[in-house]
Amino acid sequence: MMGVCFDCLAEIDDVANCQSCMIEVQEGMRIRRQIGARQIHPAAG
Amino acid sequence: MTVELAIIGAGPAGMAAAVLAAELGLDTVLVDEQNSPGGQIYRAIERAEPDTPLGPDYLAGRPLAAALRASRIDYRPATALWHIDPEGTLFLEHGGRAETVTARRILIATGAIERPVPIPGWTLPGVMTAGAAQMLLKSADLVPDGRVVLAGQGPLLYLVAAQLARAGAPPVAILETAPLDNYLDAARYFRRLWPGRRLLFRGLGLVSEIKGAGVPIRRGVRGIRAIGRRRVDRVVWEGGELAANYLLLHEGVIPSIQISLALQLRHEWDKIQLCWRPALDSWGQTSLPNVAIAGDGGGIAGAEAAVLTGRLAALDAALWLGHIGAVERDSRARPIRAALDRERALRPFLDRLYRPSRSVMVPAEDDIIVCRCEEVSVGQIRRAARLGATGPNQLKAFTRCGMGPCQGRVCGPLVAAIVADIHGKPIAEIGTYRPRAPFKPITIGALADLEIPGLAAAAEDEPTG
Repeated sequence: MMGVCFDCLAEIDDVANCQSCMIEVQEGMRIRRQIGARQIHPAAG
Repeated sequence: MTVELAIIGAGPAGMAAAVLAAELGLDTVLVDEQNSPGGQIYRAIERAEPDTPLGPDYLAGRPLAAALRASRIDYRPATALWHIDPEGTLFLEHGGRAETVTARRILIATGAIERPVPIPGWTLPGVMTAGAAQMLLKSADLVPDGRVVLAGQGPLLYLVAAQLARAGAPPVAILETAPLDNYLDAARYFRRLWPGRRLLFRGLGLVSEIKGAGVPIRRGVRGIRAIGRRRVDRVVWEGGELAANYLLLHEGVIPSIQISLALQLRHEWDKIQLCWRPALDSWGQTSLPNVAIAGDGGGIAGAEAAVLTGRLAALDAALWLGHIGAVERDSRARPIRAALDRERALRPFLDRLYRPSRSVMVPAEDDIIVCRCEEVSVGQIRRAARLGATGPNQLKAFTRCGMGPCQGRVCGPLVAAIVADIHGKPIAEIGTYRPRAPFKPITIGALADLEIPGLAAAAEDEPTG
């Protein structure tokens, strides 16, 4: 819960590898679980 | 951008140093990963109610944060440091954008992390550190629901138990793992009890509060395991077992040395606290002339001591940068040093009472995961060490341990201890990981946008063709 262990990596608003314990939740935020290493998505737009 | 002093971390040491530095006229920037000042010990302190279950010691952080807000410094919250060069350039990330700040002098105040507690089942959902549960209480008023078992040792374990009880979620039991020999060892330091009485009474008060709340404390517990299929549902130990929805582990705190190691500052193995710490002089000066360290990142002594070492480092920085003379620095430091002696008085006693047992440093069972990121077990580390791996850095090539997202922050102390055990050498000889940038994840886009001072000019100077 302080950014040390990286066990909480998640995809937040389409950005993977976010340390979710360090980010405050906001209205409308899109949060997805990230299992394993990140996937590279083709850039939107 | 160039400043006189850059402080990394807005915990007690960083806040106190920043306030004093501003007062002494230093052009100061304070960078911190969190959205608000306080560090971990005073996390989210500005939103605390006066009757918070976190108690008066937590509220002691409020005036520090208020002083920081009132001081004339460049305070940058929600800013991650992802690289630092020894000449004094900080590479930062804020809101998805990268930037640099160059400072004539750097003060690292990155505090402590909890020691890893590698028991069987420590990777199961529902098993967390006691500190993690406390963070949720501080930052979001959350308490774990269901049956909570606390296990381990150290002042924080009792503090969290009392805070959870006050918040209406008392743990079902505390399993204290301090080896009973520790009590005898600590007793040799009984002369420290009187000068350290303030801290001692605070600790005794917590224990009696916990007992008063009806939480049983079991001492000398060994062989703790977390059992469950999809998440923890039972905690077992030698001679006992309890149903549990959460197991909160804690075996003390150790300095956070990711940045000081990356800078290749000289470090020493602390034989009493069983951790690495940067070698410092009495002002917090490191082996690099322009870098100092204050607070628990320089050796564990607690929040009140961190405020004091932060002030000493600020005074020394003011001398170094030519704002005050040596006479003024020394006279201002005198009362700070006297207070620091009082704060540290109980340490030798506490460090021996709560010295982790061997199984915390070197887990007995081969199938325990040591590196959580890359899922490397104790057995794999032992095999690689027997094959000839001499230390943690070479073990990366053998096993990938320490090469996942946490970059060895969690497994570093364990890997070193396991290798030292196999080779029959002291940990001091085995060494630890050499961390490298980026310390925090940063996108390629942010990197590509970065303007590096001097780089464009250097590129223009370069002959082409």
